[in-house]
Amino acid sequence: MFVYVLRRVLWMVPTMLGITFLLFLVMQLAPGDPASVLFGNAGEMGGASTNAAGGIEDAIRRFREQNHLDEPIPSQYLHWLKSVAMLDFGAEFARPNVRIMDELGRRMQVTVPLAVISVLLSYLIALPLGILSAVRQRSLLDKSATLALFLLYSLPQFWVGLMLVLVFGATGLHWLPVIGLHDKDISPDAGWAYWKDLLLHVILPITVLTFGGLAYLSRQMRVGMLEVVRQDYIRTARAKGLPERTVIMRHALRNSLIPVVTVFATILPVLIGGSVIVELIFDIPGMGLYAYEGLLKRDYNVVMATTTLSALLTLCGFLISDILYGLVDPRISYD
Amino acid sequence: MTDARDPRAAPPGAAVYSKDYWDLVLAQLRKRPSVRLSLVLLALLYGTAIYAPFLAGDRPLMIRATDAASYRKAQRLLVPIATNYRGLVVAGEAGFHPPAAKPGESAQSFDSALAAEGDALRQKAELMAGQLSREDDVLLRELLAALDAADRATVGHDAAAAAAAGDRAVELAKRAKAQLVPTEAGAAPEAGRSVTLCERTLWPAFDAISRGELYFMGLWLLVLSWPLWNAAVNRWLLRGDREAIRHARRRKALALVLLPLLPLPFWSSDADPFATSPYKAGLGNGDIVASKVVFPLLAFGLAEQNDAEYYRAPTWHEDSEFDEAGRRVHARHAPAATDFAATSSPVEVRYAEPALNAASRHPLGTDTLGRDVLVRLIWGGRVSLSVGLVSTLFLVLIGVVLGALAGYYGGVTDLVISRIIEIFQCFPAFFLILIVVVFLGPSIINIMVVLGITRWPGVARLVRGEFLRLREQDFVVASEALGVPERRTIFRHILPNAMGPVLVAATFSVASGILTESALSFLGFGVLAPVPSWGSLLTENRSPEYWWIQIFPGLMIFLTVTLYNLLGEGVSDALDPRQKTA
Repeated sequence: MFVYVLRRVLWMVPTMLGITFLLFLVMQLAPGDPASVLFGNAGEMGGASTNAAGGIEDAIRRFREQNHLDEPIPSQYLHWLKSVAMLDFGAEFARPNVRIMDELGRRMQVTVPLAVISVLLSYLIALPLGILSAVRQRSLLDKSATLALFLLYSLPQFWVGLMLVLVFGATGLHWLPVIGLHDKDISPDAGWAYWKDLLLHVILPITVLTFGGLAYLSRQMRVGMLEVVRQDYIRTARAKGLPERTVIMRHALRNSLIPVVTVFATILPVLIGGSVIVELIFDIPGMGLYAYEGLLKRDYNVVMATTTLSALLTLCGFLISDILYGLVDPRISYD
Repeated sequence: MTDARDPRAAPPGAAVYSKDYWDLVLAQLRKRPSVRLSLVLLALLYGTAIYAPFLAGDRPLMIRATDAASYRKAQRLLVPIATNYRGLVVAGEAGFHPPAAKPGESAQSFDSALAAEGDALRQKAELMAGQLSREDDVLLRELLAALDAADRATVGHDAAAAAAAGDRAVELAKRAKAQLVPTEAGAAPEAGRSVTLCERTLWPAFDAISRGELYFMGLWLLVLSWPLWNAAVNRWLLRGDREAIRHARRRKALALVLLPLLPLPFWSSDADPFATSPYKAGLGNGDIVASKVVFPLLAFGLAEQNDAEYYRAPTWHEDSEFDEAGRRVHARHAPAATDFAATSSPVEVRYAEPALNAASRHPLGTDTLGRDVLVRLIWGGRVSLSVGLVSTLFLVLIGVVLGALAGYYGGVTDLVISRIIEIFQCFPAFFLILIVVVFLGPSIINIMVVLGITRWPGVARLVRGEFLRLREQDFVVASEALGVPERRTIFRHILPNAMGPVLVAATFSVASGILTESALSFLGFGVLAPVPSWGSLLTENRSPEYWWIQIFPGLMIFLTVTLYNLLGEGVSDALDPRQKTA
């Protein structure tokens, strides 16, 4: 087991190198220059330090030197790798005194809890729902649940976000706040009121993050359960007079969990991608929004940092789901 | 299965036909109402997108009218152009002094100058002649003849004849100016001085259709009539021979895939859908007098802006009313102060448009610039619907080839391809797509290619698995033992049996392609600004106050994705009837 995990972790190294180099290549080969984005705006606004044309050119040259933008791509990549090995993603282009590592840390504290909660929530709701509708196949409950989940599964995430804002926001029912994580005038010392405020703010974002995975999971669970229930050993269990409850919960459940557990690995990347949209709609200062802003500004450092991190998270998701796979299915050995 | 001993199965002497995998799958597909329903509705959706110019636009489909304004303009220009032309002809190549060339352009040659003037003169004369009766356009026909004579003389280097013809052209133009004055409506023409304009019939919407659009319009009809011509081909061409029908199936499928892709290399947008045509204005102010005009169902242009009508709620809705001065009458529910400044200019209802407060004027409201949302929705389907399909074709192509290679050859090939698949799968796909699109620049082709390139690993893994399963089966071993070339074994014998799961995956990936494209457009990284796609329409204003801008494009995405998912579900049921999910 330990050897298996170690081997998988070691495999992650070349995979990560491949991913990051690919990204690096795309960014460097693409048209669009971060320096011109950065200083073009400053020039238009008449920034204090770059008021003359010569000054701007000078600043661009200095900026390129500082960020190694004037070197060939492989050497740029090596520079980047060297600093990442020391757990440093460099500084933002626009704000050179902000270390990306610190900023990312702050933003992960927002995004990761949201993602974890919505994964847990989708499993918590999807498993019972899937089991129930498989056990009562073709009942009214099963039919309506299947239809509802099918429709949910086809809904565009961003549209659901917008519609929720429309319905529950200030112009609609005015039930829930739709911007940010906190009210402006609430302090962390407020205790209970602070947490209540936070809870109200995250209800909608978590709903949007959850519903897609929920629909997918629940359908998988139902199909898995239906598959298992047809097996001979279930018939045997029923034949020997076990109550239906025991048959389902003790005999069938464990085997039907196998496909659902593997799905974990595919939900995580979807969640990370979805965080961009959700955080943009609800204006939540998380990693997704950070990546989005980095993309808009052509800030290579920010984009590389956020993508590396999300790729790492995804790889960890795969690893966890493989380990879980072994836990629910003893036929799998890790040798 | 057909039993050889069954007397119903085959007449004695006929070859025994045994159903293959696809016979069974197709039979299952035909049985499913959900597959039929989604196919029909999808065909309708694609139809509205393809035939958008006839459904929505500000060009009339047909107009029978006299266009006095353009006639007068042509008449005014006739003499100056003819004089210029004569000047060129008389001076000849030797005496030609090209006007100073603009920087970056080469100086105009004598031939091209002469051709340009001649064409301009011809165009004006034909425009006028088109609106005159046979008796009245004699002068103009003579003018055209004189032009031809001048051209012939110039080519033959006959300076005297050319000059004579040029003089004649100028003289005819002068006479045309004097004698062919259009009469005012109702007045009788004076012989030798004025004429009555005849009506012409024009087809402006049809004229604006590009060759590519025409191709897809035809293709759509072809696809719709598939059951018909499929039956005809099977019956007449293949004489009902089931073996032959089975062999032809591959060719038909290939045609189905290749036909939509065929025009891609030659694609050019020669017609500009964003050009708004002046027909409505001309009809309104009396320049164009029409006896019959047929406008499309929705007489608003794709990019036709209306300054006085922006952010108008759907007109069946009570909040959308305007008063006589063109000010928006605020709704009871609307907040008192908005960033919307009521305009003082009255809304102009142009020709063919529904009346101002008619419920059908803007059924889905207007957007930031006063453009009709329904019209943009119809046109936006072109991007959204095609991105899903084309990107799926790309990814199936890549996935099938790489998966087949990995599964068939194994060894190092398999190892390398599997590693690449792993790298791609270990990556939040949406993130990768987002980054590549942002850094390569947003365009519809880029999005299609990127969506194809980033999402093939799923299909490749499927195909690889199927190949591993089929590789050791008897029919493959037999085919190898018979010395069939490897390529033939792979593509003719294994691949058809491995395509079932691919078909399912492809259907679902069209749905997810549409979702991804709309999400990209939503983030502002989709197609470029004036081109609408469902995702970008939705994000034109994200303020909840303008709910209609957000609801309807989202509904279209939802509908399309649901249909594709329904289709995918049906196909996967048909492939594996045991796992009935419904």
